[in-house]
Amino acid sequence: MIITSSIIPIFAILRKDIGVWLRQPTSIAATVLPAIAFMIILYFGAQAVGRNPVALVVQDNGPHAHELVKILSQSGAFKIVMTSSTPEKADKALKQLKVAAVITISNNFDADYNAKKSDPITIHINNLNLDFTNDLRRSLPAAITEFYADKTGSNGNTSPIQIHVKETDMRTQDVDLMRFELVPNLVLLLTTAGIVNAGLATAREWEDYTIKELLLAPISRTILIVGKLLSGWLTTLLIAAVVLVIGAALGYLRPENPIYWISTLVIILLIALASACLGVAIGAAARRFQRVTAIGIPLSIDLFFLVVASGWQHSYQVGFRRLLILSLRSMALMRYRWRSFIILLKDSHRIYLYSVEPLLLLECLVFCRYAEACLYRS
Amino acid sequence: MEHSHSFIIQQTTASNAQNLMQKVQIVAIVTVPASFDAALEHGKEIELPVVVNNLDVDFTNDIRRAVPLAITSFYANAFPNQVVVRAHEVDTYFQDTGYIQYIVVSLMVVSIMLGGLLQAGSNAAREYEKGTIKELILAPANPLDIQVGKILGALVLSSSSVVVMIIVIVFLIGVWPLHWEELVGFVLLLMVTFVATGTLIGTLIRRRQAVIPLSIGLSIPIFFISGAFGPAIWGDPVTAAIAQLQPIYYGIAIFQHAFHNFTTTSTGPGVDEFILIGFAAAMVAISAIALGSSRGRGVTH
Repeated sequence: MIITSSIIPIFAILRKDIGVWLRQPTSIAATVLPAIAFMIILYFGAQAVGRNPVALVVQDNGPHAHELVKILSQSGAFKIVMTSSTPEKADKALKQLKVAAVITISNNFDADYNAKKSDPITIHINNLNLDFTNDLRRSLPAAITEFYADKTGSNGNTSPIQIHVKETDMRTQDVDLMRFELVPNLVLLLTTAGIVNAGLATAREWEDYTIKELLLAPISRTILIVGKLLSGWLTTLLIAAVVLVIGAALGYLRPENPIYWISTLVIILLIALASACLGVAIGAAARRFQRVTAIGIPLSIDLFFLVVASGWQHSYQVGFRRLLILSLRSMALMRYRWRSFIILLKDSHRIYLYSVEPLLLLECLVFCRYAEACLYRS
Repeated sequence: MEHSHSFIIQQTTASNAQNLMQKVQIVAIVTVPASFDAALEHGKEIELPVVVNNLDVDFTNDIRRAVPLAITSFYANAFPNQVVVRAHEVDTYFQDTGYIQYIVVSLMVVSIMLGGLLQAGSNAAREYEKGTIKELILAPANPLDIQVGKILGALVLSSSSVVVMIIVIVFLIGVWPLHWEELVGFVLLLMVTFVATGTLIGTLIRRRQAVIPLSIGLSIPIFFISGAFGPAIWGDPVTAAIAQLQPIYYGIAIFQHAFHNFTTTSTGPGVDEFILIGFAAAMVAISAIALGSSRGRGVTH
């Protein structure tokens, strides 16, 4: 009896909120479009990352110069978009930003190499950004390393370099950038959609003055909160399902072992629930559309960059921590959201699962309690 | 390896390294074997074990390139007569610009965009939500005048956030603009462009619930493709072509010039400025046309 009396108002709130959401295609588009746009950008961006356009000036026709040109052309570190024997054209391309660097192999390259004289290859870099610059700085010496390694096989001479790298990979295959970045993209989508949908659905009650009727209805605040967060949760999951199905069908978001689908789905359900709870809490506290979006969306974007965007987790994390971590709460969020991200990345670190689930559930509980407290203030 | 621009080296024991690897706190373990020096002296082959967490091909490739680079650099310094081929670097700019210094400028542009879109978009949509648009449309005023009024209002309202942002970037983060006069002019130009765009979006969509997440959500992907991390034209040609169709691309370019004296587009900052003026004028005109068409069709909300 008690259960039935709780389910009916929850279902009524759920039906009303989803009905309003479905009647507003612009709202659905507003939630889905960013994620789709992100996926398209990722697809194209992943093709270009780490492969800066470079011009090659080859002034020597000797066999060693040819060999180096071949290595440079096959390099995965940059793409040779222009090969010339005169520097003027390449310099012009550098000035017009058509290329990020110009590599020049001088006309006495072979002679100096054979005479064991200093034999520099010049690289002129447009060093406007340290990230791009360092990629190029590494790329040419890497090609030179390969050039020396090839010496063993090409002419029978032993390479002067006697140190050889023996690489051991932790995973059976590399995770490409597209597959890697789709996971944080999914987390961003879940967080944004949860906060926006649940937050706006909650704030709408104040904007439309219908909160009076809800508060005067013979139902508890908890039921009201549960109805709100369920609607936010379901709409979030609906959007996540679209991305997940497309990602899985294309092979970009597919766990290596089917058993990991369970942990993946559990984490997705929990992140969506936690985001919806956060949305309800923000909606109940802010009570205005503008405030909800002004607080909620930047928060989810900040978390995205702090937690899951690839480059930041390592090299730039320290700098951005100083800049962006404004509270202990965001630190706590960061820690376990990062862990949940690891699980989503279909790692076999199953131990994390036990530490993530309770934390996400705790977050849900705290946000719901906070939203309830906000309702009591009303 | 410490001077290779590639790693943050942490010297530790094998067991601690394994532990750090398990906690995803390091990307790779490079083990220098105990017999390294002796083998080198005797000209024997040395195997350098490298364990890589190949979680993301971008990081993995950095490690794959950086370790051989460190080895070759080591040989070039230790045995200059054997390893004669070296890279000689010439830089276009006097000093390198750090990643934070570069990206903060791009973030400033996207903040101006977001502020403008949100403020102006919400203001315009609110007129429809509250029904006050009827009074505006029935008033004996030109749609262009009404929209210019709304743009100026949003401009004043969003200016406080822009001032705060400039103070944070310049005085707290310490990214000092090389051309102050350009910065002031470009901030105004960008504010007008995005406030006008926000007014247009608000006039067309008429719902704050849709305007706000749409503005924020679409700003992020646009920010990514517009050369926020480096010149967009060095990236994928399709993305670069799309980027050149919208104002953020030119906004980032002129701001990078104002702060660092960089040229990040093939058109150059002068032309970029004129393109942005064109965008701003077009947005003001189109938003006036959109409001005019509301008048023609009658208002429904």
